[in-house]
Amino acid sequence: MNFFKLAFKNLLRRKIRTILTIQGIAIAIFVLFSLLSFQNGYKNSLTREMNDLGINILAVPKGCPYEAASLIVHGGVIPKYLDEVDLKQISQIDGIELATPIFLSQIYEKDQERTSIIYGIIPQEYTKVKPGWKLNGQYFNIDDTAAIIIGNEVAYQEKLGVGDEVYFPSVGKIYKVFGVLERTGGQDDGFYFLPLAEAQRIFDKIGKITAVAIKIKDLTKIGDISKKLEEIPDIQVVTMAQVLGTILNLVGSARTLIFSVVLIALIIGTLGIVNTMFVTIYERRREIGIFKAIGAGNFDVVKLIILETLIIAIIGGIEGSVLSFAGGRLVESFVRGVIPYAPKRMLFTFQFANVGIAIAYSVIIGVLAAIFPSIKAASLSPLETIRKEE
Amino acid sequence: MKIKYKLYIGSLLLAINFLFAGVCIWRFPDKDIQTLFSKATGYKTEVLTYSKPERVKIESLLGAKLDDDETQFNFYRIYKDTTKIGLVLTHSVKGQYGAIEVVVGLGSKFDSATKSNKVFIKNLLIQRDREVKSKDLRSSKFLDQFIGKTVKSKFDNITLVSGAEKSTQAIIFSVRKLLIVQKVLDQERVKQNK
Repeated sequence: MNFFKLAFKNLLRRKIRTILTIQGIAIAIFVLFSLLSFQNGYKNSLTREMNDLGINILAVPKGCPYEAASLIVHGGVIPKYLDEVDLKQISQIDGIELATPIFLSQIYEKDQERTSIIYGIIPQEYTKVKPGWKLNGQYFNIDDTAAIIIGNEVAYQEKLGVGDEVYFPSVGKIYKVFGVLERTGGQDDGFYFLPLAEAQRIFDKIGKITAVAIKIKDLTKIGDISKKLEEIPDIQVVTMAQVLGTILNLVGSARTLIFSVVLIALIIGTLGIVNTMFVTIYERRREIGIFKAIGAGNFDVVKLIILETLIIAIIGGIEGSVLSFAGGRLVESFVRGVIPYAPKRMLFTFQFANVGIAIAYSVIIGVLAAIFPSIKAASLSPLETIRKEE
Repeated sequence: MKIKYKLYIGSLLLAINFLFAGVCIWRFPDKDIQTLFSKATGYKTEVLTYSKPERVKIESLLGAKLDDDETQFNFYRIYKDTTKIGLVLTHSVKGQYGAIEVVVGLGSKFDSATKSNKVFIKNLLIQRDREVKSKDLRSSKFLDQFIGKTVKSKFDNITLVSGAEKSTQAIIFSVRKLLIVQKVLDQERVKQNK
């Protein structure tokens, strides 16, 4: 006797019920799979974004250092500034390979609801903390006053290329596009980069710096250097490892909550199968009775019910994994709006190991859900069931 | 069963792809709708894509290739209660100093000569630009020249904005493109369905 065929036929006899039960499992597995994909993707993405930053320490004005660091990575406006004197003091500390000033501000045009994030940099230094940057065109010189480099997303949105000109209405100045960054996958894609002095000038903040990006020679000495930096008045220090840790902690709390929801979804899905199987067994008790009367043993009945349950669970598991793979970008766009900090790279990474986990969960659900219904079915007496139906 | 399943997965993936295709969005619908169609009570968005022959036709009428990211066009159907009273199309075009985003309001009237509805420009707006001559390009003196134009109209009688010739030409090109897209993806499809 082919039990697989029999199990499939039995399930197909009650198509709607089978499909609905499969959907319950699929949704639970979809959430589980998405969460697993997010767990890997988010951490990898964030770590790569922080590594790409190439900065070991960020010296920012006193205030909330994490907020400042996040604003700098994101491109926000920090109302406090450091002076160039602070930069000199920072550069004199032993163990610092490079300390490069950053000026950050934004131009908001209310009538067009457009925000242009301006990064003032010294390109010859800044590129050392951005080793991943690839530029089409050329970098400007520090004393250029009408040159600009733009991120890849800016170039796409504004339809600009190397050699084009870009005009900032509220500044009243035209800049020539010297270079367009190749897509970084990070926040840099959305920024405009100007020579430091020019950026300071247009915002009337000459000699002011938003932050100092610091690269150190030996990463094991990061603690000592941070202490020395904190001795400088007006400066607060934040290491990129701290930023990474804080963000991961924030997201970790949310993840625990979501895992609880997934667990509940899985329990509900399992109970759904148990319920379906109980109803099915009740409806098929005469059939099971005849099945046993013509020679099937208790183990055969158990095997059949377990197979039916497993088929439902595994199909649900596969469907959930496929849904998660196909709808990952939709979920990602939703998650981006909810979590406190989202790196620009993909948050959801597809891993075959996760498919394995999802299917394994489905099998476990299938076996658990089959235990009681199969025992119940096996315990049915052939004589009684046939007599009752008559 | 297998084909159905493949179709389901295919359309799901296609729908996801469309959600992320590059389109010029309508940024200020609530504000613009009052300027373009003062009697409007609402609008519905329809995303239209073209077939290969339709693309060929659009490009041949336009005399230029569609941009790589122009895989779909958003048609904003304007309603007064339940009656369709017009259409809004948007397009982003390269100007002199960055992108210019054009919003075109289209109306239609019955043409007794051709015994069909003639689609014409009811109004035109610039929703975003970086132009030095932005004020002139956004002026009614310039934009009103487009009112009443149809897909068959000539545009060489439009007076260019002095000092912003490249941008003016870009806007004309953008408007022509939208009229052609409307003709091919909307008017001609309706005719074929009839």
